[in-house]
Amino acid sequence: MNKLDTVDHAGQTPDVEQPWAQLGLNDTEYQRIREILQRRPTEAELAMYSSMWSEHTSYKSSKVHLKQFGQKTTEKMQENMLVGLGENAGVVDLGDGWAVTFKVESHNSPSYLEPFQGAATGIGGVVRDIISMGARPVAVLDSLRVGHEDHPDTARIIKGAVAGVGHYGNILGVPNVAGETAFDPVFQGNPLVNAGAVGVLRHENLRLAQATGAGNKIVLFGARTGGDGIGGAAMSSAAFDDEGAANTPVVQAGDPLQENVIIEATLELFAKSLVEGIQDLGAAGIACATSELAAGGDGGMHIELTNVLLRDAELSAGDILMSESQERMMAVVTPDNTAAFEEIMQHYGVEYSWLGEVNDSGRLTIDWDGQRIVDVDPVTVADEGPVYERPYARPASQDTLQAATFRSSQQAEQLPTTGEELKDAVIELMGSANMADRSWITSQTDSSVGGNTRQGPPNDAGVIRVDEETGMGIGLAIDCNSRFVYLDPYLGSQLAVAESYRNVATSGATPMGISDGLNFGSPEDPGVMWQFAEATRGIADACQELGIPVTGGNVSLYNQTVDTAIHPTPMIVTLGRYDDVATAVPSWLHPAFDGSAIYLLGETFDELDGSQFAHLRGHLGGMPPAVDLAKEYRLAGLLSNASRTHMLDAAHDLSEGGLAGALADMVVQGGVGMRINLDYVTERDNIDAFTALFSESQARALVAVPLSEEVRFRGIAESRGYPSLRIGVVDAGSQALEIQDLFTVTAEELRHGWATALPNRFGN
Amino acid sequence: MPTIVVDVMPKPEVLDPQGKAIDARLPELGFREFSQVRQGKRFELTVEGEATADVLDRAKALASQLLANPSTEYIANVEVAK
Amino acid sequence: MSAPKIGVVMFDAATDAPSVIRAVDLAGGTPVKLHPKTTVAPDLADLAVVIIPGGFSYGDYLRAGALAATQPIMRLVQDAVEAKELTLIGLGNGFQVLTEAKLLPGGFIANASPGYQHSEVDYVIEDNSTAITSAYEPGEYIRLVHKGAYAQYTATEDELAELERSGNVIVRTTVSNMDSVNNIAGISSDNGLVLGLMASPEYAIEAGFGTDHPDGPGFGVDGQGLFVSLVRAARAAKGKGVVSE
Repeated sequence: MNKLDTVDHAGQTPDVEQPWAQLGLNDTEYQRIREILQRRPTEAELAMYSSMWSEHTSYKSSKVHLKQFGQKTTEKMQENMLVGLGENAGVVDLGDGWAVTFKVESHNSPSYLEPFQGAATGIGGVVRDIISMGARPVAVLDSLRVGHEDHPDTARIIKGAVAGVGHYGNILGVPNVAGETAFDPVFQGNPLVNAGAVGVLRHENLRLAQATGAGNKIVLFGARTGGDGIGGAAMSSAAFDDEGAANTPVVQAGDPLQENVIIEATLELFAKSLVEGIQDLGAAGIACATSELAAGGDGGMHIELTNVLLRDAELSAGDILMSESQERMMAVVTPDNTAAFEEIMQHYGVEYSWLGEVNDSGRLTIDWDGQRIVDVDPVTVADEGPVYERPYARPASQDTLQAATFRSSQQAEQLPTTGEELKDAVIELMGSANMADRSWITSQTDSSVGGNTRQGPPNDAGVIRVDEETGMGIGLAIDCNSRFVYLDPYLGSQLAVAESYRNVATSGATPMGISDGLNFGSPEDPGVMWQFAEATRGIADACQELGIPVTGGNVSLYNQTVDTAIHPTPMIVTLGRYDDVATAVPSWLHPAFDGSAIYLLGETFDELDGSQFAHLRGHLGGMPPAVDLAKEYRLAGLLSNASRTHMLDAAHDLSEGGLAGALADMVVQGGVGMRINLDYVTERDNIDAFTALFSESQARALVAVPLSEEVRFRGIAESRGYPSLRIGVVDAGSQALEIQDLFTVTAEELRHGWATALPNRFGN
Repeated sequence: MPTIVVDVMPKPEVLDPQGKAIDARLPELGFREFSQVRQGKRFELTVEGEATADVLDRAKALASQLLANPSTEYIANVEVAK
Repeated sequence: MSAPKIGVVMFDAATDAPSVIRAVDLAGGTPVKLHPKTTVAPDLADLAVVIIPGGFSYGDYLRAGALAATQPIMRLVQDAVEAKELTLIGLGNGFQVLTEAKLLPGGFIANASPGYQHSEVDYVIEDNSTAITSAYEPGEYIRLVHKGAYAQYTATEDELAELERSGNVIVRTTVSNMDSVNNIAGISSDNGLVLGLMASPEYAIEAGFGTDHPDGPGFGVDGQGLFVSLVRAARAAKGKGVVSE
């Protein structure tokens, strides 16, 4: 680019060929930009529209389905919401002047190209979303989906992603307290890396991303702008093709030290009320921040782009607008506060530059060296992008898939029945990559930093104290069984909500809201779009029935290699509240719980389709377990009540691996034994021992109740009419899981495969 | 035994946070002569036998296959140490 | 009793600093934050004890602790130590800063299994006459959080011989999982004024938020003793520094 493409020049040269297709726009979209502007866009404007109208930024295919999250939120559900959908992240009231904000974001395609930096900047980005709401980040979490555990490329992805999540979060000093990882060949070419963050704030520090007040100054602070990720937003919105990396953008590299300092500087700006509005720079960088701030405020803003501090002096105006350099924030500051603002930046050693100011022109104008290169209505860039009602249709293959139940499969011809066979199956289950010890992953992240971690891994939910005086705090879990969603997107998504919700309740918290990370294939495939439509409907309905709002979320589409789409994966983060985190309940057996009684809550049906056991046998088909949200609600009520009144030593939700998975996990984590009698379950529910152990029926949990609390506990379970069976006792001395009359498996026997599955494959 | 040295550097367009952090210390420590620091890695490969041109080529292959990550780094130099 | 002031150096990304501050407070001290760019000696005038907390000072870029060791405040605390007016304590990354600043012998290299590791480790107190171990018994076992990527202590043969000969190894790990030479976890300077410990005692100070313990998960508070010791030392010094012997 030799000559600057100014607005005047664009007006005079209507016929210049423009690279709209390379920038990810289609012909209709390009024509619409011309109509809006009544001329061709300048290069900078084209860069701006193309990145803001990309799927990743504009949600153009998903918007019509996401609407129902708001529509299905009742007034009662809104009660605790300080800020709802649409902002960087929703904000939930915790009482006593405290509030919490949380969000999960995908960083899938960058993590495939460069797993370490991709995952690291995923954490960095979602944490900046949290601080731009005025909140101090208190926890991060991550959810990973990678290919087959023995595929050579899986090691590259998981080692890089885990190290990247750790590197960034550890240097930020934010504890990583929850997460999950699953292996499945469908994620081989499209791994999912979703990063979440939670922040807490005082009500008075809440700020929204909007630029109001003509004359107020716009300032960019933090890292300098380089060539990072140029074209990234467009790339995240396209399926990987056979040529792969040819057109890949510059890898975004993160600098957690810089972000650590930005957190402190930004929170001081909030505490001293020096900013009117603030926005982090993520996808589409300055283009996104300026247009969103202007569109959210009074509608006018002027920017001098040559004021942007650069890392690379060669960048063009369009590059600068689209750059996704990390660790940058944009703020709106009144003229009175500019000196105080500068003082804070200097104190923390953070670079900043004044870019322009808010005005009442209704236009976003950007100059390059005094020459006008952008003159647009910001609303057309930020809010009025294309919206698509993509065609969707249930694929014909879905019937075949659902008809192919596990029980009717070849794999079901030889099922374990004897004690010895069942024991071997439990050992095999626990040694499989999806069930094995996660410490290889969790030991690479700092779960204690901050000193407020009541529970971290390997518990069902992470638990963080918010108020040191009262002990009030939060619990959070992230979950999704992609196989269930694949079998039935509507029910499977409800199961994802149910599992995440149940994990928070099992740990003793009262669920308050969810945030979702929706990872799907190409929206241009009607079958995928059907999965998306069904999944969003399922989530919205489930939340309505459970009475907890969707507070925010993120959509990642085009997770697809040529024509193979991933299993649809709506990751669900549930956030719960504790009056006092001292009542949180661990999900494993500690020696101190010796002698406690083990109760199984809920009923077990013959539900093996999509189960971990079927997966181990290489089968996927049939219908996921039945959903009963009313029951989930009652179970959660029972669990929160019992833990709040100190009736529980431990509690573990039943999900992947069913009863066998939960029992074995409770034993193997701490080497504390249990004696269990399965007869009560098989007789009441009319099933065999194999089904009792491996079925993945929902609305179930295992609890350990101290003998002194048994009478009270039975009382509340009965009064709430929740199915409850006393199936055994904790026997710390035995260090084994004994299933009476069937088998005894020692913690050592379980450990053998369980503890080594990941380190043997991935190192250390 | 001869040694082959491989130098790997962060690509110029990719952010180098480590170099940047070192850079920030220079003025205070009185080093005003330098405008930028970039931090790379040096590998030393001890050769079995002679460091022939073929062995050097093998070192180059190793460098691009394993020692450098092509999405963030480049191989600045591969040579037999003097 | 008065709550003696304890300095805490606030290096960028010293992520353990907030927890160290809480620990000092709970142990009866008054934490005072010290800015790393401080160049004025009066800031230290009424401090007998300064802690360099752990974390990732300056991202651990270049080498763990290396960039922190060049910050202006290091000159200042070093002068105060030389004047025998200050006891200087480095915890975790703070210990790395002290070796990089050559205030303690030896140095740190990457863990035997490379990469960051967060775990709980059992330590044994070798010497309870120091400003950070006086609340413990000699031979006492304590469980603390151990974390870091460059947590393996190493020293030359001469340095090592001298450390052992002079009895300056004050804490060891009970298992050699960190592969530090001679299982060294904590050392002292000859005059007892500079102390380093590769551990994070600040995460074992509150029941329910601590390390594993027979009473229940997170009930371990073995780190309390370290902060009680150093508050005691500061109190004894009455603002004039602590000199052993």
